[in-house]
Amino acid sequence: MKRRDFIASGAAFTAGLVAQPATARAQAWPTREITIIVAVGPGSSADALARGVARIASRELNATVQVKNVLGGAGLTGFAELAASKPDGHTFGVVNVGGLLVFPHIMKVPYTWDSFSFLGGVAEGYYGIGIAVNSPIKTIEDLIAAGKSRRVTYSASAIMNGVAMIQLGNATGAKFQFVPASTQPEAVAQAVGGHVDVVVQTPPDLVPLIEGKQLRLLASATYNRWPNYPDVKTLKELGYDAATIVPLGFACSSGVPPAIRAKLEQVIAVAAKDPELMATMRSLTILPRALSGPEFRDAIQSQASTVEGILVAAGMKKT
Amino acid sequence: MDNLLLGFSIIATPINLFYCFVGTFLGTVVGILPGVGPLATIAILMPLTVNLDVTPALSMLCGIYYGVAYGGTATSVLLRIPGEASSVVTCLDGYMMARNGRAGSALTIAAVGSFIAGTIGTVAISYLSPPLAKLVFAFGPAQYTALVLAALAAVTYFSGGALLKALLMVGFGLTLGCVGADPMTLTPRLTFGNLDLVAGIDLTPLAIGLFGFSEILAMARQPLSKLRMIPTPRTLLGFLPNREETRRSVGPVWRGTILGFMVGILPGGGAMLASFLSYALERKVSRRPEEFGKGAVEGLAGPETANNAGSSGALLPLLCMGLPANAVSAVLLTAFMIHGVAPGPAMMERQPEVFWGLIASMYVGNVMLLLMNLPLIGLFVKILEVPRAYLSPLILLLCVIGVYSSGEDSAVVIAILFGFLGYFLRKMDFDLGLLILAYVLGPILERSVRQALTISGGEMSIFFESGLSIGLLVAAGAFLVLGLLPNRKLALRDD
Repeated sequence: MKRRDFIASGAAFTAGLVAQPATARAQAWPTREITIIVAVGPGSSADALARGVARIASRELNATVQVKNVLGGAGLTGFAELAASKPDGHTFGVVNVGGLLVFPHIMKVPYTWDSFSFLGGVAEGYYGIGIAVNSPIKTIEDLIAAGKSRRVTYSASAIMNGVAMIQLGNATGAKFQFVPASTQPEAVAQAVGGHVDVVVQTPPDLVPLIEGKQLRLLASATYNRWPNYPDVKTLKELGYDAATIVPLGFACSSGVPPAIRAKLEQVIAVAAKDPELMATMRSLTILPRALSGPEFRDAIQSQASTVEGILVAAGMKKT
Repeated sequence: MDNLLLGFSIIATPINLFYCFVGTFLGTVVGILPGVGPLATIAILMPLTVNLDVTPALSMLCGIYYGVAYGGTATSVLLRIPGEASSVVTCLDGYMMARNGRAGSALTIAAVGSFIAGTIGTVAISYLSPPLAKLVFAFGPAQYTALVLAALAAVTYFSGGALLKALLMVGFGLTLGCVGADPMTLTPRLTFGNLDLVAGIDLTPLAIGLFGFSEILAMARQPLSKLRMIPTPRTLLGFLPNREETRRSVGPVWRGTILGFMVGILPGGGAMLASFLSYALERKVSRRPEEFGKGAVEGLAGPETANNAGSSGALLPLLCMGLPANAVSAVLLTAFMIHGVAPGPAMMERQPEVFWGLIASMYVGNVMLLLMNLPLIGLFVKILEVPRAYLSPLILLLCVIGVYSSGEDSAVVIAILFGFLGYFLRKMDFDLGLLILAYVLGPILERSVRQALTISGGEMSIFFESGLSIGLLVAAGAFLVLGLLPNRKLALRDD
């Protein structure tokens, strides 16, 4: 069965908050298949990571581990389902910045930070600023200068991508206008066609166009340089304290017995160092970054004020 | 030519041909099953291909992708249930052909048309890629706005029927498209606090409800004696289109191929839009527009060709630019990356054997699909001999399973609601095709307009800055004006 039993999310949410001190049950765990909830569609980086982790978890725990893509609600449904899952250690899921930092400001969501126990981080997305090869803007300095004399537009498929641009604008006084795109390719095509000035996306989106000499990588918008373009500097190296940091990791609903949670944390830690998974991450150009549960939580929380600032500036934040 | 020969020499090994076959076979199966889509299939199989060589892995995954448009036809024609979104239009005339005893002929025309479109699409990818790929980048938000307006105007103009009813359906479709998160600010709209609606209404339950469930309801309301279809002739010749049908298919197939390919190239366009535009076009150019909706061969041949050409077209920006045109080709891009191939000009330069091997596999795959689908037709039409009293509940079950496994829990509820709605709308002669089309195009229109205005800082002049958008806007205006002129008379007579 691919589907969970349908539980009214309100009731299940309450259940999720009630800790069940079931240490006796811990020995018998896992008693059935373990489900990894992924709130994005098949084929995405997060999905590929989760499937890799599923293989490793299955090996480590000697259990069946399945990946379940819970789409809908722009990722909200998956988050809600994870928060509401029975805290018996048979469900965990991928969590990212969007569900925790963006949505709670925009709409009523059926979960809080306290609904989750953070198990650990495995990766971080690389982000970069791409620009059409025939654009008169050649350097970050050109871009900032342009942003001081007119509205410079940037496209991105998610609001989080633009964190570096907002920070860059705040630091220099340049004006950068976010143009939301519905998909990654749409964001990229708008920049190549000159409809917007630059695009902020991840390597899988930009690399084919860079290799095809349609786009140039202006700067890495992460704290690390891109492995495939080691000559392109990061914004930080160029003298601007600006970076898009999107850690990717796993969490389960809070209330999972500590013994089971410790085992899950250990599985994530093993997975983060697994050579096969690291190879997958390299081929998808995501930065392997092993974080413990608390470190992962902090990494996300450190972005909270920046993201809130962006939402306020974009008029997206509801009270 | 040398390149293509290189490709064929690479693909012509038993193992590569085997994986090509597996891909096209799976594509056909996935196409037949309503609700099971290529997206999930490719994503699930992708990790399993990691240990394969690049060429067999990619030719298999691509085979699933273009094979779907072949399989999607069968359920549309036989049961009026769209196996895939791109086969929604086939439900209109393909199904009526089946009721007139021409099911075998309809499926044969669709298979051959699909083959022609798939092959010509592949030829176009082989030889026309660079200039056509440039077209993708010419389309920004302003140009998309103009394109969608032109497409909507064209379809309303072509559609025939009462103008007011057409506009009502377009308005309803646009409203349905608005459900969900606001494209710019993510604020939920028309969701009534329901989390399941934040992502909007899915196309699969909507299409299956409006077309499939409504048909089952309509059948349930009729006495058994009226339900009998004219049986398909049992001879081999009965499966083949007769001379008249063949003659009437030629034009639609060619027009569908060209139109479908061009529409497919554009991001957001793809197979479904291609099939709708082709249907509208055929109805307009036909000398017998009154036959449309009652089993016109053109209304089957055009769209069924166009959706295949659209699938091929959508591969072009992916292969030549690394820019996927739709969700499925986005997953294919991930598959390419996992195998260490960055599609685009770099791939043609550095890994020509992968690029041309894949192209060759597409030629071979289309032949396989044709050979696989033609014998299946005999099997498929047998389905019609099952008494409807047994068949209908079975269809209902399959549809519910398909909808349930494809989306959210609420998808089944949505499908059933739209089943009843579709039943009443059909009884009152509303055009459900227009509803679906407006539902698909509405969100693209809204997003493009708002993106364009964000870029320009609110200046409307952005819509008139490029020749392309001016041209499309003029076309849109022309269709609207023409719609008010005498042609209407002809259309009104159909009612």
